[in-house]
Amino acid sequence: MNNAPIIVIDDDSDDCELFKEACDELNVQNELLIFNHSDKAYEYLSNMTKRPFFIICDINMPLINGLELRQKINADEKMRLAAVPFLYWSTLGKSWIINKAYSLNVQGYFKKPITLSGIKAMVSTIMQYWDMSDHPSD
Amino acid sequence: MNKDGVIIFVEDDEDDKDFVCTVFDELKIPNKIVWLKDGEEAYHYLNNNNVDPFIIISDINMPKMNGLQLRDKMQTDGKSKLRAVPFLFLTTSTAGSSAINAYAQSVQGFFQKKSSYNELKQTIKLIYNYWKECAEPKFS
Repeated sequence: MNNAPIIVIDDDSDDCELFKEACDELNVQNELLIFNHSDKAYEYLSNMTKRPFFIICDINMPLINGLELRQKINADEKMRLAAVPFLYWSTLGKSWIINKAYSLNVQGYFKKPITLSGIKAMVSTIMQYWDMSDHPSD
Repeated sequence: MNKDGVIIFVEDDEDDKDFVCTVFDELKIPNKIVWLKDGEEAYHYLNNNNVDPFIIISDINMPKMNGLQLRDKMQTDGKSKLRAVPFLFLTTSTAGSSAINAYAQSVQGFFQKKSSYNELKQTIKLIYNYWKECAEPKFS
C-alpha cells in the first residue's frame, strides 16, 4: 500500500475526527495531515516535498470553499503536474455542485457517510483504488 | 456520468478486448459494454451519438488516435457533458512519460492491464465499485 501522507481538508472537526477514527480502525499506516482551512492546505501543497497519496476535501468551507481550492490547484502548473488524486467528500448533494465538481477534473466525489462503518467502507474503497492506480513518478 | 449508462471500452487488440469482456461477464456487471477499437472511432461514437456513459476505459497504444490523444481531444473539442465522465487508462504501458501526460490531463486512474485473469478481475471490480460509490453528476 502507498505509504504517503493522506491530506484531509475539512472545517468540521467532528468529521475530521471520524475520518481519523475510521483510519485507526482500518489500521491505516499513512500519516493523516488534517487542515481545517483551504488556505493552509494550499500552502502545504505549495511546499510539499513528498507527493501525498491523495487529497480528500470538503466543499462547504468558509473563505475558500472546496471548489475554489480545486480551481487554485488546477491553475498552478507545478501542482497540476504533481497530479495528486483529488476527491471530494461532502454532505452537499445538489446537482449543480456535483456537476461543478466533476467539471473541475476531480478523481472522485463521495457523499459523506453518516456512520463510522460507512466512512470505513469509503476509506477502504478509496485506498484500494488509488493504491492500484499507477502514478507518473512511480 | 450515468451509473446505469454504457461502459465505453477502447481497445485495439481483439484478444485483450475478449479477455476484459469475459471479466465483465463473470463479474455480472449489468452495464452494456460498448467496444471501440481505436481513439478515432471512440471520439466519433461519443460525439455523434446521444451517449451518457458510466465510465470510459481506454488503452493507450492504439493506431489512428492513441488514448492520450483521445483524452486530450475529448477535453478540448468533445461534448462538454462528456468531460465529466470518468476516464481511465487500462494499459500495458508502464508509468513514466505516458503516465505523466495522463495525469497532466487529470484522468481518473491509470491501471496496468494484468496478464493474470484474477488480477485483471480484481482491477475491473475495483474500478466498477469505486465509481458506483461516487456521486453522479446530472447534466440535462
